Amino acid sequence: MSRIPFRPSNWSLVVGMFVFIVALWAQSDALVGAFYDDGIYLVLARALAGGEGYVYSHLPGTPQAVHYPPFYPFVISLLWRIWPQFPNNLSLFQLFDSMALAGAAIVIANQIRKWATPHWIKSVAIVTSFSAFPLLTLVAVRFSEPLFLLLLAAAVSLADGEEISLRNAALAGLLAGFAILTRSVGLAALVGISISYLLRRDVRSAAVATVSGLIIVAPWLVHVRKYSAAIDSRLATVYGSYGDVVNGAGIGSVISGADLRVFGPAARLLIPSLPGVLWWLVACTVAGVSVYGAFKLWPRARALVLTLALYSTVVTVWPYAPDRFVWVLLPWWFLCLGAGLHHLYQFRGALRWIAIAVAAIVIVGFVPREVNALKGHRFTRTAEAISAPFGLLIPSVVQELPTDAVIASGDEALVFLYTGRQAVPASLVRFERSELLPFSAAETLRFYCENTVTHLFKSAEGDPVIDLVDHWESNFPGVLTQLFAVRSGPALYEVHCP
Amino acid sequence: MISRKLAVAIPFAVAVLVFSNSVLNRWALDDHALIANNPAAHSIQGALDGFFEPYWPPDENGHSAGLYRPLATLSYAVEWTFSGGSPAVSHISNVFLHAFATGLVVLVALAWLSPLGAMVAGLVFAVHPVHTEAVANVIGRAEVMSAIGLLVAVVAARRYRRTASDERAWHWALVTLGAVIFAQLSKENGVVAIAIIALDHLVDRRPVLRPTFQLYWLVAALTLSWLYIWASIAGGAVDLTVAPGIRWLSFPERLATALPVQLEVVRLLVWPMNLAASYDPQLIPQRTEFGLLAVAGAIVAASIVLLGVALIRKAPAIAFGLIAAVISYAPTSNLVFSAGLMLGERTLYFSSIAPVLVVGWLASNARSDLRRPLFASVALILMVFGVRTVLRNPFWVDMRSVITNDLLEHPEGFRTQFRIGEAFEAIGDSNQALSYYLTAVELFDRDPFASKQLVDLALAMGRENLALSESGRAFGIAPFHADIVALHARTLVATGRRDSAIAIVREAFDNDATSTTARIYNEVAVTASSPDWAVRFSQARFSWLSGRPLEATSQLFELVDIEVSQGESEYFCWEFGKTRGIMEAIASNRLRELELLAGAHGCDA
Repeated sequence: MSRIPFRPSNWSLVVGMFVFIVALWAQSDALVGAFYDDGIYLVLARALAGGEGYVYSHLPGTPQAVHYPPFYPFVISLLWRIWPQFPNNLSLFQLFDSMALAGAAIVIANQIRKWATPHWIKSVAIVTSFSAFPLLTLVAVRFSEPLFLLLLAAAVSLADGEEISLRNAALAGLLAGFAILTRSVGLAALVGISISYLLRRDVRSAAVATVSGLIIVAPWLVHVRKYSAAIDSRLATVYGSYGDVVNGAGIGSVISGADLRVFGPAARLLIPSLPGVLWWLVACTVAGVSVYGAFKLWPRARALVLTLALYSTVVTVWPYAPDRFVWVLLPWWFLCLGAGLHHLYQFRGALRWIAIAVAAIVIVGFVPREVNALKGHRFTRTAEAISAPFGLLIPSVVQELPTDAVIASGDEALVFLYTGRQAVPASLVRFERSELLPFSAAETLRFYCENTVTHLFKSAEGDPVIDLVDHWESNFPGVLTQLFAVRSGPALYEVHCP
Repeated sequence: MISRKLAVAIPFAVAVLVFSNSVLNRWALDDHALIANNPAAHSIQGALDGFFEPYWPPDENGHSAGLYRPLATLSYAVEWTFSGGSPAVSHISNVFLHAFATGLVVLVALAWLSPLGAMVAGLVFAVHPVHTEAVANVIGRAEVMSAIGLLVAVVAARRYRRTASDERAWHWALVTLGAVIFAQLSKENGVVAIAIIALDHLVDRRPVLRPTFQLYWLVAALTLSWLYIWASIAGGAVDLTVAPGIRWLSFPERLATALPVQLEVVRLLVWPMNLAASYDPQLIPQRTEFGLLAVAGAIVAASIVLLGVALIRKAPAIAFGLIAAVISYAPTSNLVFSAGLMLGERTLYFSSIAPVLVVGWLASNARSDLRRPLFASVALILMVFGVRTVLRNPFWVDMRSVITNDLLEHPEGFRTQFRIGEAFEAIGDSNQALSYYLTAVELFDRDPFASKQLVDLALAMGRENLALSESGRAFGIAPFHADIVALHARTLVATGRRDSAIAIVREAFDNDATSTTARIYNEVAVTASSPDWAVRFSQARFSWLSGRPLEATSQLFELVDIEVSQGESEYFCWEFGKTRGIMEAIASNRLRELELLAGAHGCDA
């Protein structure tokens, strides 16, 4: 028997090379941390690479990290050890993320080779989804999604593969375990894979896959349980464990958020602007066609379909905005839609016309948005606009503030990475039902003083810090001294605790 | 009958023998900057710490060259660590690396040639005089290492194609990838590895036992990754290091200069008796119009490619040699894009495989009645080449040898004259230095950067008019270049022409408001004894454009109480106008008084 379990076809390699090139092209000059989580991942990677452990080294007291699963920071920390000079080493991380996305494309393209959908539909679906601007936006910043997609794709591909063996089940479970350690929602894959084995009446494979995945995840769960109590309750929404989030929001209120919003991001991407009711009608039709496509894929891809279903359920009930969670699975959504359209088209009469109409609507909705976003690299402008105010002030902070300064900022990880000064969130939030609400200004000031905050950074218009500054300037004169401000732009204040 | 082992061993030994006198050499030319004076090359840890840094240490302006060769630097560091900085060890390494490359050439040639023919090819490669710069000068090693990587990649890819076992195929794929990355991290022209492997595949007539797409895919992905990393580390500096003879030429002008060079390339590969340390003007003149030589160069270059293609079936060894030589030389040919050299003997190291395989093929395929005269001719060539190489090796013994011998052999080289000038300046003989600098400029007056030392020396010697005319000449060539603007402005200030200096730096800032032009303006404002407020304005602009807004804010606050006489209104209004955008961005009422002052002096809104 061959020792090589994976033999990519030439077609999948061509797709992979295309995705690799597009992903490298998509990289942006925005500062890391512009999208918040990307900065935290790198802070954690830096701490691991420096031997500090899995800690939030940017926060005073360097608490243990319990919110962000460790696998992506761990992989980045290995690269960080190879090239420790930040931010020059970002190009190595960009390269890794692009490779991971290309790897995911190869695995998915390889898996779908034998699906009944015509080759040209699969090609169009996979090429357009992997070059769709939401996915490119994810790969252009240091998010864990490319690695997550690779692990997820490899896990379900193995579970749905033709070769059934305990070895493959164990490997699928391990990969799903690593997917959970990359993004917690990867749990959907482990459960989906195990159920798919059970549906095949293969109890041993189901048990092996489940146990393999749990073995990988168990140490992380122990770590979270051990250290989650040490996180300041005012930081729990962002830095606490997912248990803290659910506790804060209340489990009943979380479930009440089950409003099928998981379909929202894809619908906003694919459907053109239409009058209200019509838009909903079309959106439901497109969703229906995709679900039908998934149903038709079921015989060949049970683990995949179960994973998608469970994943969608988790994302729907979870209080966070679903967009980022949805974009990462765009290739599979597109493939399901393509399969649905193809099978609908096989019917005669009205169903065929529905398929044609849905295809036309999706093309009219998606193509102009895609062209507009790719033209001039516009999809990276949000990140670049967020990071611009920081870029303006960072050299001054590095040169002019003391090294033991503690800065409050809306992007504390970014500030820490580029200035070396410890940083805390400028505004504190908590979940109430599925809404994010701010802590009071007085409570925030108390938090600042307890954490020896010396400076406050306001990034630009729209920063929630503006309300805090207004409040403190009116109610606590002398707490803030403005050191620098750009009209409608960033400002730096010195903080004096009362 | 010669065995395959002997066919490899004899050229290996001859390569060691012919270059053995180079171990007496010391550091010469770039060896000083890249090894002797480069801390990264003095310890393994230093080289590893600088693994993701450009090859050249940054100059005083923080500029480096667009080169990234971490394995070359690491190899220097390993030797330095074990030898304590003895150049002899580095030279010994170079000799053995060349011998190893020679053995690999034989292995590659054995695919098409008899062991005797392959051995002859190896012998020609071993003694070829065009290799002296790459082997006898330590930093030439990057070429040898890159060539080794390319040759190993070719051999390993062949093995990959011809093995039926999956497991072995993956081993050979890994060796191929390792060799490719070794070539690329040794020297940038390793980027051609995929083309060289594909060429060998094309001309290799033996049966292929497995699909090869996966191997090409892996090499392409690796090459793309390397390009991405290279671009992030050194790619931005490529434009800074274009050879003087082609700098700022349009594409047709560059072709007009570079095409005749191809004739010189062919001469160096075929009959390398006349060698030089550098091929700058006037060894190779800058030409801005197409002439007969350009046409001849184009015909010769095209003929080589066509001949290679035509011989793919009839004489694959020659086809491989000719096309591989073209592919490996293309990146530095100045035909595709501007390179850092007009021509360098060391860059022909791998390309010498063309004449080498031609001779090897002749030896392998000669008719029996022609064998005797052919082998007599080959023996003669080997002897002449070998003697030339042995005699050429001491040319690279040290800095003094290189620059003095180069002056004797090629006084028409403007850079040669310049180097002599630098040597005289270093020992304090200003008159001689100035004389050589002037000769250099007379030979080639299109390199504005060469004027810097001449101007500085002329000013130090009190030759103000000379300094002024030289800086003016440089400014005439590159009025858009910040360093040249700074040079000319500094000279104008030094010769008492303060207003002219302010005028040109003002124009430079008007044309391109960057931190560099702001810095130059600030320096000139200080040295030209401008009013205190003008200096502060320029400091604030420089701070702001350099990303130090806090500093800029406090510098602007210091301007609030200034007094400006009516005679300075125009000057003040210019300064105010150029700083106004920054003041508007800084939301502070303290700057309101400056606006009132500007209004009082009639500055436009």
